[in-house]
Amino acid sequence: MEEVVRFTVNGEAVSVRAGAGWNLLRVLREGLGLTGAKEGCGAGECGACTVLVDGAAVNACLFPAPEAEGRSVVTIEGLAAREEAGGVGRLHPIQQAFVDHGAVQCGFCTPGMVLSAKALLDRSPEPDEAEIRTALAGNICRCTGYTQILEAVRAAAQARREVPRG
Amino acid sequence: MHAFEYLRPETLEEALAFLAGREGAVPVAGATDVWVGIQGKKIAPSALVSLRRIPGLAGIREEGGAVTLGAATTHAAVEDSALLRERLPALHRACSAVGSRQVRNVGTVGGNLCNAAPSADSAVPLLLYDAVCVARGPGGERAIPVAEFFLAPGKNALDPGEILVHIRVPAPTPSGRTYADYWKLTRRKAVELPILGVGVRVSLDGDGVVRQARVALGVAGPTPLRARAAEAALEGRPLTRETAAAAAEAAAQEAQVRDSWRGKAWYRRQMIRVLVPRVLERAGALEGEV
Amino acid sequence: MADLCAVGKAIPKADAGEKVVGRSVYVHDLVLPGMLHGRILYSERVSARIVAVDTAEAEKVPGVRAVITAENTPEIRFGFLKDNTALKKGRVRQYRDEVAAVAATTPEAAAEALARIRVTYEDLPAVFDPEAALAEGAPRLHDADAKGKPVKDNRLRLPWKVEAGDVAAGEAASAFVAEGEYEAGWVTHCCMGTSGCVASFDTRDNLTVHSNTQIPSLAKNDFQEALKAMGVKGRVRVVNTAVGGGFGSKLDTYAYEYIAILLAHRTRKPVKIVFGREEEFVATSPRQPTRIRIRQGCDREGRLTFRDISMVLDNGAYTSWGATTPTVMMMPSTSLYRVPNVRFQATCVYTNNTYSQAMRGYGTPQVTFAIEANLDELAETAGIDPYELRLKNANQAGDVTPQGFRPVTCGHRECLEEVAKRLDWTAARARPRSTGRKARGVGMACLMHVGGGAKIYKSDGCGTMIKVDDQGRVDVFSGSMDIGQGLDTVLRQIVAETLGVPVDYVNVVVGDTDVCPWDVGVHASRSTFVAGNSALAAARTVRDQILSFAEEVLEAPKEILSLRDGQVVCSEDASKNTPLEKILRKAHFATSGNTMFLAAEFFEPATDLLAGDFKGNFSASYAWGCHGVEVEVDTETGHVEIVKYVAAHDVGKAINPMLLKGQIYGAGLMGVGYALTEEMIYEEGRLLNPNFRDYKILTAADTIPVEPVLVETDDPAGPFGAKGIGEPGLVPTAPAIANAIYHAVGVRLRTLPMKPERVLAALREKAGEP
Repeated sequence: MEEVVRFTVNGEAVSVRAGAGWNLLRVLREGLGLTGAKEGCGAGECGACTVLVDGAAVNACLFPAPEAEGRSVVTIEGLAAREEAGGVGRLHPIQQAFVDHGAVQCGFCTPGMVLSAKALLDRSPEPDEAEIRTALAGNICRCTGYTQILEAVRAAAQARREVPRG
Repeated sequence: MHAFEYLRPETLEEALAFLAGREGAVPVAGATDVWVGIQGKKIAPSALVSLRRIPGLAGIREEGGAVTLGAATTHAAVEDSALLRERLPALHRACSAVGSRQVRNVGTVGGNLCNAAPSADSAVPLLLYDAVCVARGPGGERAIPVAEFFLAPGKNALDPGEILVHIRVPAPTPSGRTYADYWKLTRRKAVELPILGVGVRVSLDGDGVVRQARVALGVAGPTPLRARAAEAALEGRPLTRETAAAAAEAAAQEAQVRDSWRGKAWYRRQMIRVLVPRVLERAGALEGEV
Repeated sequence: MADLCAVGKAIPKADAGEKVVGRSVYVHDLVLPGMLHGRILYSERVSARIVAVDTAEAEKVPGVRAVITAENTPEIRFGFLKDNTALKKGRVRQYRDEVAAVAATTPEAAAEALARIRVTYEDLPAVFDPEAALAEGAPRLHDADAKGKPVKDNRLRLPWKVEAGDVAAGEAASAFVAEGEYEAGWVTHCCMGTSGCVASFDTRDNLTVHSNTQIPSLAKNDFQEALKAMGVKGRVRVVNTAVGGGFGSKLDTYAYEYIAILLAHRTRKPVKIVFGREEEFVATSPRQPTRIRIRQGCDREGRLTFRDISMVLDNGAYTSWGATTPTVMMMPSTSLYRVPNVRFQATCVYTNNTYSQAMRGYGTPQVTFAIEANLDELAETAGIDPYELRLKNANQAGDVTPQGFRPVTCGHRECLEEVAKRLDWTAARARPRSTGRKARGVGMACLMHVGGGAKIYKSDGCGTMIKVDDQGRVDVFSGSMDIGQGLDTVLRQIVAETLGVPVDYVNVVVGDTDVCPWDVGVHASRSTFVAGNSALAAARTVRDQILSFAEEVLEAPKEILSLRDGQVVCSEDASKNTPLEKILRKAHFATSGNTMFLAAEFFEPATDLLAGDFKGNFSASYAWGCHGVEVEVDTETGHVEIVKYVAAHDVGKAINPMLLKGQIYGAGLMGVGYALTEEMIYEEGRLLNPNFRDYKILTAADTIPVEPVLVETDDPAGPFGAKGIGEPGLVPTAPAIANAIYHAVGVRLRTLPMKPERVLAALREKAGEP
């Protein structure tokens, strides 16, 4: 019952085989070598596998692979070097803020955390503290106590406001 | 993992045909609960019939004061809906508190109901609002009041081959001031199942007398339930701290709370006493510090 | 030290860039050619005789390459007392016991094979309470020790006892005495990256283990021992992947690693075992649960007179570092505050529960909960403000503690004062207790911890090699490891500072035993101090080499030369200042002599080995701290909300304030989880909540407002004055909160976690309600 799923990953059309019962996470990691999304629990409770599907943050571990058909998926690998980052080899402003604010320790939660932050800022460019906390609550981090992560997201939101984009 | 088919019908008819044609097929929308159930070997459906691509199954509509939610409306859509925040605040709060944003982006109100867990967050407010589940099956459409939708833990009132298509919330009657809210009791602030869910809705007349009351509880019995004795204790009486306390006591008495390692029965019962008045306070129906 | 250019700066973590783009490779991401997937079959019984293991059906599953049990593999013993084996033979003693394992070409085939293994058990009696396990006639967990010597009961033969002064005399001299019993159950690390490894052999039987261990050098030794037991002559290399969190969980080797080694040797293919989340909860070892009795007293003036602590530890079925946590619990027991007469005694008992390990704080969170909560009880008995009592007895630099510690610097008093000031202590304590629905209160608790290593092993050292190339780029090979805490960055800063080069010029290589020197491991908050001192020594040596060469080139004695801002600087004649690169290249192209700039140093702290009577100076410096918290208790639901949180720490010197605060924030929230929400719920040895839904690790929505206060005491033994800070941040959290709850509502919580049910039950008991 293996099937081929066609969708867009980081702006590129792909066609990839998915085994029976595969989730999107496995397709990304094993089928496409995009290992930035991590499996932290396999049950939608930690957010380490967060990717964007049509702009919305989802747990790739709970997302049936066939549902990706025809959709647009963004993974952490697609965030740097995109238009917002200002060119190849540059970090996305959210990524840069995570680096600059000490929001990264072991780093296992980081890709998912960054993508949850991106989904938030895309839908709510000026989030208040409660919105930020709510948006990131599904990404568990055991290292940082979240303080510097919240700082980084606030800083990234601030940076967006200061550099209006067309 | 056990093998199953994943079917993606484009129309409701096709979906019904898939369900009719395959024994052990299960309809799914966000599939969050079902997927975890399969991974954990708790269920082994022969096929999953995805409802995500069926037009018209997701979405929020208002007509003449009544609100219709497509069964495949995500919790995030409810969370982001200014209409529901205003019109159905208890439902808005409940859906906004389900899992994480990632789960709310795919998990649906219909799925939450069909899963029929005693802890289903959206069930309690829908009980408050006298919502009606509308199902489609081979024999056509039928309406099932939410209060009759839950039969047992994990068991809903749908017949095999039936699909929940939407949830209808009637325009509030009687008119007048209406207050409603839902309190999800948890140990941490997010990504939680409730230890207890408490919902209250009251409609008051001009004299502050309760015309209609609904009290509903989650994790206080085998299914989400209405606390009818508590409702009776409120209706026809002025809403005061005393009548709220009497209703809370009635709800605590009629609740079928259990001891579990997630929460002790005495604690759940006591929290019903505490939270019924608090819900009324937070809804703005009662004065008090929340 | 005013003109430091790298040390003291908030420099981003070295690998943060790789991590934010998702490029760091964790063991989960590692794929080797021909790699097989290993899976482990755990016991279905908590205590049973293994009658038979039938693997015939499993072997028939397509893709299966090996099925192993204790019957068809050599016995590999491991653990602190070598009472554990990789695969269990004849008997299981806990649910997490490894009965069989498979290697297959796909995870599905491995899972299918596991499902087809048939094990026949015959139940044996079990015991789950350590005190019941000590009773006469209790079921015995082990009939013999590792050497085959018969044992007669479940008590571990471990000498955890220390006594100084005269406790009886101290008690007799006391005007006030407080006593209490405190209990802390199992909690676990919850590393976001689960445990795992890939084991592979080359054709000469050399083993490589890709691992996320915190102890590359000791793990290498352990695996070498395993090869010996297997009769394999090869050598071992341990290579670290990126580590998805440690917190002590990877401080010992586990059965799964030996099983991967056995499977790799059997199949001659790389074998990967990576835990799923449930497996991580069940089959890694949590924090040591502890029941503590404490008595302590003071005289009329509030001077502490004695402290007497005894405890029972549920060791579980086998012995890992959990059983050795009393050696660290001794330290605050004898030496937190000036107490002249002290006694400490711990008993570890085998049970059929899971066995415990190291976890951030290594026992001190448990014992500090008892000491500091009980100290508030003593203050109340004596009618003294808890802050005053603490100040009066605060440790001081130059003290020799009853256990023989000799702190050279001590910021204990300053930490206390900072907390009191920031909580507005006197005013907050003077506020009348609220009679409303929500009641606020403030509390504080202190900590002492080793801040300069801890010699609990024969060596507490770390080696470093440094090479400087002809363009001024520096490679630092350290025996230590980065597990997310920032060791990679701290070493860069120390070396860059010493060699006067930009931080970006310094590359830190850790986690490869073929390349890196020896280190005892990442534990005891020792890495900045020990690995930092080691790197500093190596950097100084290589600096001396460079200056010795420059001396000839510049015709100036090296006493007046230094390295700064990428230059060799002459303090007496600026015209001699020369870019470092120029000197390096001159050396590189010199035609005679050894002109490589290459240094190796091993740093061993000048401390005493923790053994014998457990007296001596075990750490080269000591860390102190005080946490203050304001809580709001919902008196109707029992919920506790943290309103304000001050964490004052004597850090010696903040080498990187941003990363250091990251340790305090992270430990603080972990400590709040320990205090309020986290618990592993075991029922007759079975874990009921092995997932993040029911194990309540806190989320971003629960973030607390931590205000870190860095007290810099500039310890002469530390690199640039620094002390360790990895663990201290969660040590006093639970007692500070317990004390604040007491202040708010007048109930004393003595069991962790202080969950709403417990708080409410205590409130109702106090009010005389049923």
